[in-house]
Amino acid sequence: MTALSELDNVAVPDRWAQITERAAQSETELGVFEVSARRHQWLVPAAVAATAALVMVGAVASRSDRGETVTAGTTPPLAEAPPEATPTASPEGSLPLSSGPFAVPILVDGGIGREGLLQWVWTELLAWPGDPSWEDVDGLPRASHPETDRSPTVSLVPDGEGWAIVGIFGVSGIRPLLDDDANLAGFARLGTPSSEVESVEVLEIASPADSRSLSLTGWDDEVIELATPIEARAARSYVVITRDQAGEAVDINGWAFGRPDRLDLDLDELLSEPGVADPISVPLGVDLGGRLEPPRRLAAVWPGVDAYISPLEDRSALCLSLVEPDGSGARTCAYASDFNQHGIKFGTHAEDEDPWIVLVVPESAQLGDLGDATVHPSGLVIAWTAPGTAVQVGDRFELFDGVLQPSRDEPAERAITPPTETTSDGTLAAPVPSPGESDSDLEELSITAVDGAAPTQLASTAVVLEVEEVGVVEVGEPPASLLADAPELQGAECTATESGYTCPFTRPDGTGGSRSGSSESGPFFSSSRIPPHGAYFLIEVGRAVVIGGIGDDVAVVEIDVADVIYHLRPVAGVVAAPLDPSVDAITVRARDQNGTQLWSEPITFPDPADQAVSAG
Amino acid sequence: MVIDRGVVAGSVSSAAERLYLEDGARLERSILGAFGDPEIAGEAVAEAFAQLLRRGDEVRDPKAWVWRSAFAIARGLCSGPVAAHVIPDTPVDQPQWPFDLLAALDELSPRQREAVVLHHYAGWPLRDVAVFTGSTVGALKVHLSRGRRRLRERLGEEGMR
Repeated sequence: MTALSELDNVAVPDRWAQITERAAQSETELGVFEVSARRHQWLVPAAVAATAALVMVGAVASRSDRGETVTAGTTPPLAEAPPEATPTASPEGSLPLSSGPFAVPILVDGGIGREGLLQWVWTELLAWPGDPSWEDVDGLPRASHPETDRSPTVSLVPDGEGWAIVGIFGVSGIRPLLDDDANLAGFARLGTPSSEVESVEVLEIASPADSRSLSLTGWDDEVIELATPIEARAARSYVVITRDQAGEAVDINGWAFGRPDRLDLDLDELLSEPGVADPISVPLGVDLGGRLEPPRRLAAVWPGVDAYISPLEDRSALCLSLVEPDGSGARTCAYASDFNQHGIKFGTHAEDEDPWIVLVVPESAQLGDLGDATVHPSGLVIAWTAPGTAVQVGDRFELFDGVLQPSRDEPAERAITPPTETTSDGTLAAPVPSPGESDSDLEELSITAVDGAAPTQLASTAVVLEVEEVGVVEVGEPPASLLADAPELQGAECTATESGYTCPFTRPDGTGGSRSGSSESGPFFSSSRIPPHGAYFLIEVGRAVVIGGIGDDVAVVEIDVADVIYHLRPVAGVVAAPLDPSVDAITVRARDQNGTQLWSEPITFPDPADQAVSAG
Repeated sequence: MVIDRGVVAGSVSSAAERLYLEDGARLERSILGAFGDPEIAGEAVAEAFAQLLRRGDEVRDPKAWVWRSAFAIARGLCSGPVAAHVIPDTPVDQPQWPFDLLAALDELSPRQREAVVLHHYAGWPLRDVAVFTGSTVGALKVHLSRGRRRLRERLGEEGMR
C-alpha cells in the first residue's frame, strides 16, 4: 500500500559541496549594494507593510513570456525573511500584447488564425500524430492527446489582427546562453532531460512559413551549443525540440530572443530623481558597457523608508532595496526571466504580514494592463510615472472589478491605512476598514458571479456559496481533555459544529465507533471559531478560505488569488444560496449606505473540485 | 533519515552543515512530495542552505528558516504553467521511485499538497506549517482535511501512513 512514508525510499545526494560553492558565489555576486540586515523580517514597518501594495511605474526592458520563471528561485534578499522565489506578475493570455520594443512575438499566425497556429505547433513543429484537444490552463492553451502523454502549453496572445505565440513550454526548460557580444551561443537546459532523448534540434522561427534549423556543435544534459553564435534578431523565436530514437519530439521549449537573459537597463534613464514625475524613456537595449550605476533612490514610498533600485553586478537582476532610518534594510531581486509584458514585480511576504508588491511596468503599459496585478485592494500608490498616462507620483489607485482604476478622492500623499489586526489562526478578526472609509460605512456585502463576460449579481441577500454540509466549522484532532476521557480517540479526526462534535474512530480490532458530544461548554477547538449567531462573511484571499453565511450556514471555498487576507465584520442580511458549479469566479463588493462601492474583489476558483463547500 | 556521508563527529564544520546532514534529506524529500519534481527539490534545498550559509548568525532559527525558505523557493520554481502539472521522468538511479504516491499527491491542490507533506510526512506542527506556507492554522486544517480525504480516496487508509 502506498503511503507518504514511501518518500523515505527516494535517494538523496549529498549536496553540501554544491551548497558551499553556491554560497561563496553568491557572496561575490551580491557585492554591488549591501544593506545590513539586523531585523528578523523585512524592514518595512509592520503596520505599513501590512497594507502596502505599491506600484512603481517605470520603464523596463521586458519581453512577453511566461515560461522561464524557473530561474527566479535565486532571489537573494539580505534580511532573514525567506527568499521569495517568483515575484513575477501573473501574465494573462487574454491581455493585449503591449506595444513597444519588448513586444516582439515568437510567432505570428500569418493569417491562419489561433486554431490554425495551435494546429501548426502540433502537427508541423512537433510532428506529433493525431488531432489534439486544447484546453485553457491558467488562460493558456494546453494540448492533450490520448496517443501521447506530452502536454505542451502554448502562451498565446492576440497580436494585432492575428495571434502570436510567445512561449512554448514542455517538461523541461531552456535559458539562452549569450556570448560576450550578446549573441546567442546556445541554451542552458533546465529541468530533467528525458532519458529517451537522442537528438536535439534548434529552430529559428519567424513564422510558420519561415523557419530554419540551426547547426549545433553539441549538447548534453546541461548545455546545447550552437555551432556559430547568432545575433539576436527581433521577431525571431528559438525553439528547442528534443527527439527520441524514432525521431519523435519528446519535449519542446521556446524562447523569444528579445527577452534578455541579462538586463540591459540604464538606470539613469529608467529612474528619475525622487519625486520627479518626468516621463521616463524606455532603455531597452541600452548597453551599459560594463558600467555599474550606484543604487538609485526612489521616491519615498513609506514614511521613513528609503527605497533604492540597483542592478546586480552581473546585470542578471534588478534589485529593490529598502532602508530604514536606522540603516537596517533588506533587498529583493527580480531576474530577467521575471519580466513579462506587465513589467517586473518585486514582492515579499514577511511573517504575519500581508505581502507588499512593487511593480515596475513597461513604458507602454496602460493602467488596464495592470488589472491582473494581485494587489491589496486597500489601494495602490503609483510612485513612478510612465509616459502616456496621466499618472503622477503619489497617485493612488484601487482595484475595481479587477481593473486598476484611479481612486475616487484619495489625496496623493495619503498614508496607507493598515488593516485591522488579523489573526494567525483564521478566527474572525476585527473588521477591515475599506480604503478611505470607516468600517461603519459598510452597509452591504454583495456577491456577484462572473460567468463569461457578463457579471451577474446573484443576490445581495445571498451567500452564493453552495453549502455541502451545514454547521461544520472545524476539523482536527480531539483535544487533550477529550483524549484523557476517551483514549480510543487517539488519532481520530473530529468535526465540530456549533452544537456539538463527532469523532469517528477505529479500534485495534478493526471495528469502528464514534463519539459525539455537545460543544456548549465552549469551543471544541481552540482556534477558528465561527460566531454562533448572526451573519458573517470571512474572506481569506489567497489563504484558501471564504466563509459566509448566517448562523450555522457555513460555506468554505478554496481560492487562491493573492496572499492577502481580509477579515470582515459580520454583515447582516447575507444568507445562503446555491452557487452554480459552472461559475468559476465571484466578485465580492462592499458598499456604503449611499450605495457607493467601497471596494471590490474578484475571486476565482482555480480548482473546480474544490469549489464545493467544505464539510470539514 | 539523515544524509550518510560517513561523517565522523568533529568533522562537521558548521551548524549549517550539521543541520543539512540532519534535515537535508528529509527536506528534499518533502519538497519532492510537495512539488513532485526532484530537480526542483534539489535546487530549492541547495539554494536555501546556500542562503543560510551566507546569512550566518543572522538567522535565529536556522531549521525553521531553511524549511520555510526552501519551500518558498520551490514554490517559485514551480510557478511555470507546466511544471505544476507534470510528473517528471523517473531518475534512472531511483528503483523505488514512489510513482503512485506522487501521482496521488499531484491530484491535490498545491496548498493541500504542501500542507499534507509538511504536516503528515515532515511532522511539522500546524502552526509551523502555517508559517512555512504563508497560511493560517484555520485554513490549513481545511486544506489538510481535503487533502487527506483525496489521498484516502486514491491510496486507501494507508495513504496517510
